[in-house]
Amino acid sequence: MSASSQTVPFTARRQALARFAANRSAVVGLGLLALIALLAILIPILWPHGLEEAGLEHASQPPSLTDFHWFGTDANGRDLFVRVFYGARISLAIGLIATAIALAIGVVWGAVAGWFGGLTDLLMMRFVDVLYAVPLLFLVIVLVTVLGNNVFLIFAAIGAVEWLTMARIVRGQTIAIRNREYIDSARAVDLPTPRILSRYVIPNVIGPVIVYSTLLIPVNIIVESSLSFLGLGVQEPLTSWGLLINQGAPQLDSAPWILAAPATLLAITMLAFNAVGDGLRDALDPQGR
Amino acid sequence: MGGYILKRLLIGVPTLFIIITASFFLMRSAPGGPFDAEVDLDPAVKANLEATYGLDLPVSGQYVRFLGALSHFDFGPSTTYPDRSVGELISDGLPVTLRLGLTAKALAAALGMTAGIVAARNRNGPIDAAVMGAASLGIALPNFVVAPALTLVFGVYLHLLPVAGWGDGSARYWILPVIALALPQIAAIARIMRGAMLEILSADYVRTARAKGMPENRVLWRHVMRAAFLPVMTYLGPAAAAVVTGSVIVEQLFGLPGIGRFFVQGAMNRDYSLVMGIVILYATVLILLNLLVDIAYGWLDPRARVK
Repeated sequence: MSASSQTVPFTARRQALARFAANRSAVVGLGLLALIALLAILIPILWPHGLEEAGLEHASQPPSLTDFHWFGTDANGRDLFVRVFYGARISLAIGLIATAIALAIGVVWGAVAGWFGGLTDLLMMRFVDVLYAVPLLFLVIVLVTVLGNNVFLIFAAIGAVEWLTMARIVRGQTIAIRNREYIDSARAVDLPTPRILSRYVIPNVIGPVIVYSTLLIPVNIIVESSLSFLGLGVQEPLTSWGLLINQGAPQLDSAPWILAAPATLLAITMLAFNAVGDGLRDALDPQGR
Repeated sequence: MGGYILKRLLIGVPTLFIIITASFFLMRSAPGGPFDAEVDLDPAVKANLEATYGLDLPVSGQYVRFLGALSHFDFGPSTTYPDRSVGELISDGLPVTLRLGLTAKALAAALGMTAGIVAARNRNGPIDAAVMGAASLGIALPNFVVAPALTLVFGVYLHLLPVAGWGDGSARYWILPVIALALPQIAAIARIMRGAMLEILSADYVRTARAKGMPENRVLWRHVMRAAFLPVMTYLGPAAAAVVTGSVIVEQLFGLPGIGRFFVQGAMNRDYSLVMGIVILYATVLILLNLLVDIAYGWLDPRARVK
């Protein structure tokens, strides 16, 4: 009993978990993200001020604790606290969904290219090379112009553009494990290829994929914010951090809090995602340091 | 080496062709045309305008026409800026964007590498912590947050620098845009440089160099820096794209007359030829930069040299 309880905890997964838990900034980052997500869910429901509750008599009012305008109000007198956390919903959702799309396309693309090799690999990776030569923000701008200003299409457009590095990572990993013994035995018992890929190849390349995904989420949030900042992304009455920053920038000298509220929350989120991503990388790949 | 470069350039041609074709048809599949913005445009006037720009042809015909013009570097007329050709707009905007981008890049490389070296040499000390903390912040704060904050401090409060615009193009007008563009890259390069330095400092050949009594400074300059520069190089090439896309936002923010701004306006107004011209330009620059990175890689790292 005691002998087995000493050996069991040292599985690779538990070791990785222990390494992650020992990384203070990563744990703090994870906690902050959980907090922001929770507030994004609860604040728009519970806050005494509504999202569109305008009132010119208290327009551009500085932050105050007394009347629940903790982050102040914008030029239309709308409460920024509720708007910032409502924006968090959209920004986080776009970050997560766009990353999920990039993940899905990139993993399948890379695994197929790496697995089959030869001409398939050559053609598929040339395609990736071609797309690499297009500045991504440009491609997203063109896609958004083509698809129109629909939030869900913005998710899709960002995800459809950001999968390239994922495909390269997965392809490299797939090639590295293609000739391992357990893959040979899976082939020997005549498992169909899609099953070998989904059951043996993809789970074994997943470490770097998780790390890269965690680091891709903040990138996607920034892409969305940049688009919304340029006026090409999320449109009123919806709002996102980029759009809030866009609305705050012109009043920076008279009402700096309108910019400061979404910008601070965006910055904290970026820092937290990066800390978690770095922590995961160190935990999953201890030699990589 | 010459053969390799030639081969890479030849691969670049079909790449560019695919990009041109794909973005051409992508742009045309967008709903709305360049003359839909004017609300009450008379149908006859609109038809006339479209005929002037060749937009009455079927898309395949437009494509052939476009390729024909492109073969002698004619990007066609802009519909957003009547009377100006896309070529003229690009040659007006390019110097601004290049000046902004290259200055920011040089600044980022110099400051970022220095910060990374300093941090690595003080590993786990307070200086390291401070530099890396600042770098994390630099990566976390996007251009469009940094730029207004800089404007507020240096332009509005301190009255040291102009708030926006290009003015006479003198240095005062581009200090803030350059800093706003360079900051995230300084941060990224500092992190990469630090990581690379730490890895190489523990390499066998560095231990050998030290063991044979080579002075520390010489070890650093001769062995460590040369190898640590490689990952920075890899970053710098594609980061040219980041300068380009970052410049879209910075140009918009500071109201600078560069091509990034033309691109956003072009995309908003369905100015097909303007958008196409800029996409082609950037794709070409990117392909050439990636080639340059690979060549420089071979030059710095004999292991990566192509046989």
